[in-house]
Amino acid sequence: MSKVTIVSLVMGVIIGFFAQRSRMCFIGGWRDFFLIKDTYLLKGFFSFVIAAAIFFYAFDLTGAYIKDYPWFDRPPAEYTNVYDAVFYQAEYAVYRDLGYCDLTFNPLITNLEIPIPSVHIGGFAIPYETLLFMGCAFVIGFFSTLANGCPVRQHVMAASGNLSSIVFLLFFYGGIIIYEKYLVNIVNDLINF
Amino acid sequence: MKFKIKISALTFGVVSAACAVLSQVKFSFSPPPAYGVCMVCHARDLVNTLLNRIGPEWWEQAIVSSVALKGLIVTTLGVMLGAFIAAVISGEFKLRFVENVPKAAICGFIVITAGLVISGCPMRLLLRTAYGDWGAAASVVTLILGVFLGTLCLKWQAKRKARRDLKGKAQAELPAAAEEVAAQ
Repeated sequence: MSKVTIVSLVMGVIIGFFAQRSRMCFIGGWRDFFLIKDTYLLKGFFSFVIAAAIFFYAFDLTGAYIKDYPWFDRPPAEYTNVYDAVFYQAEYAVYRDLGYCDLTFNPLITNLEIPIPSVHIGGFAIPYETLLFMGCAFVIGFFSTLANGCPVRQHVMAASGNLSSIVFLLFFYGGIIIYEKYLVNIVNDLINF
Repeated sequence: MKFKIKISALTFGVVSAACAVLSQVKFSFSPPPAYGVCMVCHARDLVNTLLNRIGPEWWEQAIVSSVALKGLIVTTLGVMLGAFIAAVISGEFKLRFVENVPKAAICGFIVITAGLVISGCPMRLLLRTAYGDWGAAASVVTLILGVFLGTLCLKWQAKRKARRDLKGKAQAELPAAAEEVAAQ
């Protein structure tokens, strides 16, 4: 068993245990706030992002190697095989680099300097990719609310015996297979515009 | 014997953030950056890695993240295991249907498809925001907007159901009043 497997299992067990006992849900926090002005789960939402920011900053101060941290200040990459969606100043040359997802199969080294198609608003160019990602985040928020929880909560509820969440997860994992088999090329073409 | 441990959402936020950051900084869950924990990406890596290894005829080799090349990522299974242990210890494990099953199925498919496009779940969007990705921060804003509209949809569904229940009850018990409600 590799180190990655053991670490991911241990971290998952800790997160799952704490999520079940705290009833935590990232979507439910905002849902409860909009419905009944309850801020219990919202505290978890904000504590996660603030704590993560503090931990990243603290490790960076101690000199730990954190690749491309902070993301908005990372050095320009000329030859990586990454693509990313960022806000950038319209007059700067832009290039495509695979950033946050870094998917790899056969290592592709490309040296692209192609302006990313974008919408120009107030001196800033917002890439079509960013707009697509914002749209997809909206879809995730909407349908997770209808499903009564974010993906973390669905996993926790399924493990607690909620059969509806088990159905959610069946189509969740089945959706990965369908996406990789039929949709990935369509989406890549959309992202590459 | 039931043993209920009380953990607040705030504690969960701090502990899970620590797990996510430690995974990357100390245990090399990178590249990609901000990859310590994600229910969508790690699920994708798990499924793709397994199918790549088993290699059924109908499956073309799918791309996985660099971390998944080092080993099988089982975060999602770990979350389920941890939640199962917590539910059993506290006596909260109970098999039951809660939501409408077709709705759960459709929502599951749509959520994973959208999540795979952006390569992240709400948890990873927040982690990337903490990492300094302004695109992720903008996506969190639209995520919250989606939750807001979803909440409005839930309210509308609940009101519609309440009106229908009231109408049914009135028709059963008070015929004259029921005619008035139906006329409205």
